[in-house]
Amino acid sequence: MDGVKINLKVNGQDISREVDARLLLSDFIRENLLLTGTHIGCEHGVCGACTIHVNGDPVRSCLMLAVQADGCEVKTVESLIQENGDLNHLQQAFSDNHALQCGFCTPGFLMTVSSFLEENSNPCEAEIRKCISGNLCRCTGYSNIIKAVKQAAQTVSN
Amino acid sequence: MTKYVGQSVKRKEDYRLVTGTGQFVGDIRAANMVEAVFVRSTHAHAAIKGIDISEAQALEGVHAILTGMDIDGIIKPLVQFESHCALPANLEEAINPTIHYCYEDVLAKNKVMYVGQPIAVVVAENRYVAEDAADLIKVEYMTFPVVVDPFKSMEKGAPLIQEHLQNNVQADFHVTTGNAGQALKDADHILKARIQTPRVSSNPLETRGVVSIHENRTDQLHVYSSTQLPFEIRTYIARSLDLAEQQIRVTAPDVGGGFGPKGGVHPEEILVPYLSKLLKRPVKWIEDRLEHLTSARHSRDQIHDVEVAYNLDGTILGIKDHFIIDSGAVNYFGLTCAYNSAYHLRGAYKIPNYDVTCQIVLTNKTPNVPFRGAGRPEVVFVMDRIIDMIARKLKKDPVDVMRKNMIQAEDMPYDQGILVKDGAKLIYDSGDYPAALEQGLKMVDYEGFRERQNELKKQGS
Repeated sequence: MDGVKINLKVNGQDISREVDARLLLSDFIRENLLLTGTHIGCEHGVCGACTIHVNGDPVRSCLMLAVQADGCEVKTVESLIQENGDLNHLQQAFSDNHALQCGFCTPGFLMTVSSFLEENSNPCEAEIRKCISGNLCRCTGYSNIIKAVKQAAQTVSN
Repeated sequence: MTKYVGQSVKRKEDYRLVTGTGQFVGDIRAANMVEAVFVRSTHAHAAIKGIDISEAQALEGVHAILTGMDIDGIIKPLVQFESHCALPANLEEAINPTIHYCYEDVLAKNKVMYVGQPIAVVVAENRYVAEDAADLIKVEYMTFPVVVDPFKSMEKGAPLIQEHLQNNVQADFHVTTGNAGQALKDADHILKARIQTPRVSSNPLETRGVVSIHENRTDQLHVYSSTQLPFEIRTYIARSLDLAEQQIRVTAPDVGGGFGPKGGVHPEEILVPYLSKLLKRPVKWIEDRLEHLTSARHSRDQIHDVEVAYNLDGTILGIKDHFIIDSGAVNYFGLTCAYNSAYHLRGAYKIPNYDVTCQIVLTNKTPNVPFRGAGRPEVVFVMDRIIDMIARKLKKDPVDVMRKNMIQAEDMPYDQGILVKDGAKLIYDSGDYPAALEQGLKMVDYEGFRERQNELKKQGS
């Protein structure tokens, strides 16, 4: 199969690769770039575990081809950590509020929520619920995730 | 102790899980690793007349294709899990069980018993190529009548699911205490009801997956599986592949939820290790969501036909229950769910006359395994329905029927008159259930709820 050359920026780093035209963006990130924090739960855009940022917007990387990300700026869960290795405010809030149990859905939630908080610094509960409505969690339940999002929003506004 | 008791203790795994550095089975890589994809039955019950792999085999990047006939006599079938099926002698004497052996070839040989049953496996350079090849494999079926209703499955002449058995009733037992028959004669009323819990598929966010690495020098297998039962997997790889357990190490890495289906041993957990040894290359298989829905084990699916003897004041004198578990095509776990259901049904209630018969029936559905609660949530539902139906009949509040029948604090220790699955007597050692109920009612403002409900009923809304 003929390869297609793509150039993109992933977590601030310039990447240039030749990929199969049919390669999913999620598989490109995990298998080619070895960024395995992006998880694959359903491969048809239902569970939200594979959510990443493309040009600042949260998208499901299992519904995009790698070639569609040519020229784009991509951010994955691996970009959230602070330079000194500390958790960022959102990661910390998830840990503080027991907003994760098995942790498989967590990267998707973190990416969905971090993009949301950038545009909504002081969201009400209804807005938070709407924000996470496209991400599935099977262990913890959503109450603690909502609590974590509230804490993260407060940390930023303080 | 004060360092931990009553304190919020930080989880050690959080840091890696929120930074995307956890290690789930899909994240494991090894040099030279190849990927496996399974071809699965599209029929619930059919003979396999032929499998044409020629086109798939010719595809570039395909390393191996195996069908049931290729491993016939090499890989033993999966059988019931002995450690879960063994019953103590005194329990056997008390409940007179029958458990017929049943099994599943890790790749179907002559016939398929459920949709999603593995028929062939393809190993290729990566999953994309393996899926291309899987699509090119042609399976010729001759369909059989499909049995999905357990009552029809028990009828004389019903198509056999497991062909070595005489009929589709795989197991049964009878547990009894007191005299339920007499209670039914003595009672003011008899409630007859059929109470069902549906078949469920569990769907953890992370699907199942297996990575196996064979070390040639020491003939050791290192198997990673997203599992709840690593030791069971080791035992069954050893049995199926004629290895010693000491040659196998099974690691459950970060597991993205289990909830039951990852608590069985599945065919893939035998085949992927075998392939890694055969090909002398690490092999990975990651289940997709569709496979999870059809092939990962299901649970519940109980049908209870109850007769309940009760008096006008709400006192339950006895329960007679005949229940059926539709276990799908195979029952690996003996009486695990079934007997858990039988001995937990009465829960917190004092019902001295109790008689239960159970039949575990095979059908053309995905095999069942225990999910959370393993047979208990099903009967909690049955008992709650019984309480509600009696309350409705007597025009009482269900809570009053609960209060009437609860085991009292002064009854403790309370002997339920039957045995637990490990052979011990079912004796409740302590507890104040009525006080716990009152506390719960207060917490949810039950009286207030009933008042508001009556108000709204008066308003007709």
